[in-house]
Amino acid sequence: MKAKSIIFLIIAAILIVGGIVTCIVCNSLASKSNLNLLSDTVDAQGNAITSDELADYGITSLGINMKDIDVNIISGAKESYVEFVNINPAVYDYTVSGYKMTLKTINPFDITSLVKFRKNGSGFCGLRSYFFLNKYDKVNSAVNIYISDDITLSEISVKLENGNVSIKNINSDCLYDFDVNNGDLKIDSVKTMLETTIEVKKGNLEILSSSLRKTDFSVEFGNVTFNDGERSQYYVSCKSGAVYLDESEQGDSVEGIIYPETLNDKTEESDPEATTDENESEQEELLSLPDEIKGSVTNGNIYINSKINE
Amino acid sequence: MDKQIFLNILEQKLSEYPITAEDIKKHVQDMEKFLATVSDEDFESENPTEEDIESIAITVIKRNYGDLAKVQKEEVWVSEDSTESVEPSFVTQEPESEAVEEAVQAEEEIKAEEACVSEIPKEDPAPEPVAEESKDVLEILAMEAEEERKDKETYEELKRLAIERAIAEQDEIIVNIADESVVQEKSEPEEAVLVDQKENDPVIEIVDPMERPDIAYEETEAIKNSEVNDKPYTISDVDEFLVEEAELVTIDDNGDSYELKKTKRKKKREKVKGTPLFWTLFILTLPITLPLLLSIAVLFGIAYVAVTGIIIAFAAAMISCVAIGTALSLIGIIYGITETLTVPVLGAFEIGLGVAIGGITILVSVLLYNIAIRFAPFLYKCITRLAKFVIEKLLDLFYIAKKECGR
Repeated sequence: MKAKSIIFLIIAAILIVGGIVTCIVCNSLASKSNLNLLSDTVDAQGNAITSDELADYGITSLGINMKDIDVNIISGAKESYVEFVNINPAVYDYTVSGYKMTLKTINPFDITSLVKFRKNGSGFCGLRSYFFLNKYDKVNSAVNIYISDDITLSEISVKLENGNVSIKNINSDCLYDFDVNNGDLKIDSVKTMLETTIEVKKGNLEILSSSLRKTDFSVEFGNVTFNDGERSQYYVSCKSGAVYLDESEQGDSVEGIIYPETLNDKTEESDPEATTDENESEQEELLSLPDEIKGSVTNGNIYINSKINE
Repeated sequence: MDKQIFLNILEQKLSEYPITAEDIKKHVQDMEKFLATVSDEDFESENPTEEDIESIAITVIKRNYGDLAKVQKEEVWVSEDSTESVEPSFVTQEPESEAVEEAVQAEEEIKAEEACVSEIPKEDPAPEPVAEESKDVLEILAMEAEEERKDKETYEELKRLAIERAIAEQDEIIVNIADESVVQEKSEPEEAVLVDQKENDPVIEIVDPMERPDIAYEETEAIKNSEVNDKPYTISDVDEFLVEEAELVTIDDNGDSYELKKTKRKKKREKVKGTPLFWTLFILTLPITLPLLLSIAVLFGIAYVAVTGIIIAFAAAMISCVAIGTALSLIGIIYGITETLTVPVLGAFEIGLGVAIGGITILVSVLLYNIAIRFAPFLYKCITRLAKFVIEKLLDLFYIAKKECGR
């Protein structure tokens, strides 16, 4: 090795030591100032949180395609914003473009992911985000999307590799599409007149107090529960399980049963021609079409529980 | 005094000695060349007198025709002041040379005058050392010029002789090898001359006549002696011997070109005629030996390809490392500077990362460079040496078998 090479090696050693010392000192200073290297703030529980306001974007559509993360979409909040909890900025791409918010997991070493020039959304967050890729592997990461009443969503599409999905309090007519590979899906207090497509491979599906006009679901390993739902007509089946209507086993499939049964349903069965003026108002209600729920479970049961019976 | 006048006087002074007109002209030209290196101002400041010129002429005569002067065995003081620190020089002259005698007489007169002057108390002794000094400087300069010319001539002569020697040796060896098969019938085994048995492996010797004139001189002398005492090489029962193949290589070093003599010693073998037994065995064993040789060749081929692959891989890795590392380092530093404006701590952290990445890039690149450019070629050399050794040993085996079959 020549003298020039040795000189370069000495320079390299000096640079390495200087750089590392600078990083250590700055990291300690940031910790003292309650700053996190990979997020905007740190909450009381020590979670690193990065957030972005959604009010100005006027979004109507959500598209989420992520891995190893929980997704919570909550409507009825005071302000609209998205919150990234314990997520490294290098591993996801957050974009708001054309009234659509897109969230997706990316390969941090994809060279194109380094260059993220956009008006709204996440951008390059420094080389440090690439040096701490595994920092949040052992903690629970989540994306919380809070929607205020000012925003009306028309389409929500969630595709998740590992993690749970929770949707709550959305009353606008919205088209839903859920694809969860490994995790639970919980739909709570959601009303829509549009279609809902659900596919869960390994996990439970729970629909609570919701009115989904047309639902098509498929669960491979897990149970399906409909609690406190609106009057619906069920076309469901279980390959290795059973369908329960308020704890009453119906066999492995239910075809066309409207549940919970109303008075009109019973009179039609007993005397279809009998009508009374007293029940006129109820007839209008009863004439309205029930929700249509279709689906199958490969390994698991289907539980349909009605509040009306109680 | 003008330079031309100086030269004229010098020519005149030299013509007083018994030397040919050509020599006088040559000496005058040498002095003219030397004076060309001296500026007019310096020359005028020196202001050489006629006596100075005469002493220069005597010095020239002494240096070039010293043997001639010894015959006369008469010493002439050239130095005007023996008390000065400058050493006196002696010039001997031929008795037959009238001009030299005149010069000696003139010197004696000068000495006598000086003796007279020395008896008279000196009023102002200061000018004398100045004149002496100027004369000495001129004398030293003249001597230096002359020595330089002689060195140059010696170098040229040595170089020419070295080239001639190398060519002569090579031609001689070739002739000997060509004639050996005809002449050699093992009639005179005692006349064998082993050229060099000191080393078995090829050796490269580099002799620079400029740097090692002593060696060059010895070589020249050796050539001269060999020209007198040389006998033709005769080879009889010597199986192998070493020969030297010389070639001149021109090397440019900071604009100066040097010619180096590069000598390689190569092993030459005696040609032994194979007997029918040998050739029969050779052909019969080919099914064994040929695959063996092929496998050895394939192994060496694989080794060469592997080393080539290593060089290419490491060079590519080095280029990639430099490109990616530089880019990342710059990104870190620039982004850190911009972030310093908003969150200084995080910006400084980013700058530190960029600097560390730069250092790692340099470290890795230097290591990869040294592996690709220095270590891998060294492997090449090692493999080549091993291959040569193996070939050498295989040839040895071949010749031994050939010879043994001939017994």
